[in-house]
Amino acid sequence: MTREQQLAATFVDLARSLDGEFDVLDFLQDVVTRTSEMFDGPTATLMMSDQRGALQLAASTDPSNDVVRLLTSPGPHTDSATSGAALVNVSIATDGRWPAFAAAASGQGFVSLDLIPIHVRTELLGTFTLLFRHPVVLDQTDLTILEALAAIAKLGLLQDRTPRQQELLAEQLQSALNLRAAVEQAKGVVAERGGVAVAEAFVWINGYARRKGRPLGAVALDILEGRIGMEALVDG
Amino acid sequence: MTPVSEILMSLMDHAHQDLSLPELLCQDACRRLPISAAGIALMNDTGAIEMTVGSDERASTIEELQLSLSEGPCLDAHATGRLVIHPDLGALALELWPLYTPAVLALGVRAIFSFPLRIGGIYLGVLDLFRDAVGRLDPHELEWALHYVDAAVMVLIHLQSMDRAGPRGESTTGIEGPVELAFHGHPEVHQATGMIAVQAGVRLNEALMLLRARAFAMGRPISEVAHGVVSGQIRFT
Repeated sequence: MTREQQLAATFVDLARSLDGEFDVLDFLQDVVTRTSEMFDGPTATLMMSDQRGALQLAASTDPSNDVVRLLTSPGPHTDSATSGAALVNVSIATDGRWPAFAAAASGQGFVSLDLIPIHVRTELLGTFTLLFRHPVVLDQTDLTILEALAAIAKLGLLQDRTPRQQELLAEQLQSALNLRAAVEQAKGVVAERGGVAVAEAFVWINGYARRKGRPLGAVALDILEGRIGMEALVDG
Repeated sequence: MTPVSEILMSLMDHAHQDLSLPELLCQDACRRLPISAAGIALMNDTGAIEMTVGSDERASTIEELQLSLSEGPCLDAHATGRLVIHPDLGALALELWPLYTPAVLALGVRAIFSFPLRIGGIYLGVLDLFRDAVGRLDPHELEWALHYVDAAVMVLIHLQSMDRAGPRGESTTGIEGPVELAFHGHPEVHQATGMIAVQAGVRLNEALMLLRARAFAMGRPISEVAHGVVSGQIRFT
C-alpha cells in the first residue's frame, strides 16, 4: 500500500470509528501506530492538553517511562507550545536550543525530531511528535501527510460535526487521561504478578487487547477489577 | 504553589469550622468558580454512590435528588467514568433524565457539570457543580474546575486513610491533612500503585495510601518513591 493509500485508509477508519462505539484511547493509539508505519518506524507520540495547563501522554508507539519523561520535561515541545510553530527536521545532536533534552534524547538513541502542534482556535490541544533513531529529512509531501494525520487526531477528539464540541472535547480528553492512568496501574499489577518489567507487562496487555479486538482502557479496567487473570493474558 | 496545593491549603485554613473537608471543598469551589452550588457524592466499599454532601442546604438537596430519583448526571458520570456537562439543562430532551431534569429545574438549576473522581481504577465518587444560569465554563474556568477535581480526589484519599486510623483515632500515616499527589506526568506513580496492590495483597486505593505513607515517612516526593518501587528497590511485603 502506498502512503497515500494508507492515509486514505486511515481517514476511512476514522469515519467508521466515529460511527460505531468510539474509544478515544484506542483511536489515538491507532493514529500513532499508523503514523509510525507510514514513516518507517519512528516513535510517534501524541501529547494532549490535560486542560489544567500541562501536556500529558495520550498515546505513543513507545509508551516507556523514558520516552514519557523525555516528552514531559522542558524541550522542543514546550517551545512549540508557546510559539505555536511546528519543528521540522530537527537534528537533535547538533541543534543547540535544548541541551538537556538533546542529552536525554541522544541517550535513548534518538537522532531526529519532528513536531506538529495541534490547535483548537487559539488554544493548544496537543502535540504530535516523531522521534527517529536514524537521520531523516522530511520533505513537503511528508509534512503534508503528517499534518493530515494530526488533523485526524484533532477531528477524532473534537468530532466537530456535533454542536457539543467544547463539552465533547473535555469529555474525551479527561476520559483519555483517566484511562491512561488505569493502563499504567494495570502495567504495575501485571508486572508484579508476572515477575516482569512494566514494559513487557504492557506488551502482554496490549497484545491481549489486540487479539480480542477490545479497547485498551477497558482491558486495563478488567485486569484491575480481576476479570482478566494472568493465564488469559499470557496464553490468549 | 500549585493550584491544587492552594485549594488544599485554603481548606485547611477553614478547617476550624464544623464542616467536613468535602463540604469545605464544595464551598471553596463556589467562591472561586461561577457556580451557585457544588456537591460531592462519595462511594462506599461496594462501589455504589452512597453519601452526598453539598456547599449549602440547597446544594445538599440537589445532590440527594439524584440518589433518591436514581438518575442524573452524577450517576451517569460515575457509571461511565466520563464528564457529564450540560450548560443548558432546559434545552435537554426530557428523555435523558425524565424525573431529574424537571425536579432540578424547579430548584433553579440551569446548568450542570459532573466530574467523576477517579485515579484509573480507583473510584472515589463524583464532584457536581451547578449554575443557576445557562452557560458553559470557559477554558480558564474549566481548568480551575479540574483543579478542584484533583483536590477532591486527594481529600477523599486522605479521608480513606483516616478511616484506617489507629485505635485512638490518630492517623497511622502521620499525615495531618490532604496532601497533593503528583500523578500527572508521572506514570510510575500509577505503576507503583498496581505493583504495591499485588505485593501487599490490597486494593488499589489502599496501595496508593501505602505509597503515600511511605513517601511521607521517607520524606521524599511520591514520584521518587514510586520510581524506587518500579525499579524493584522498594517493596511492600
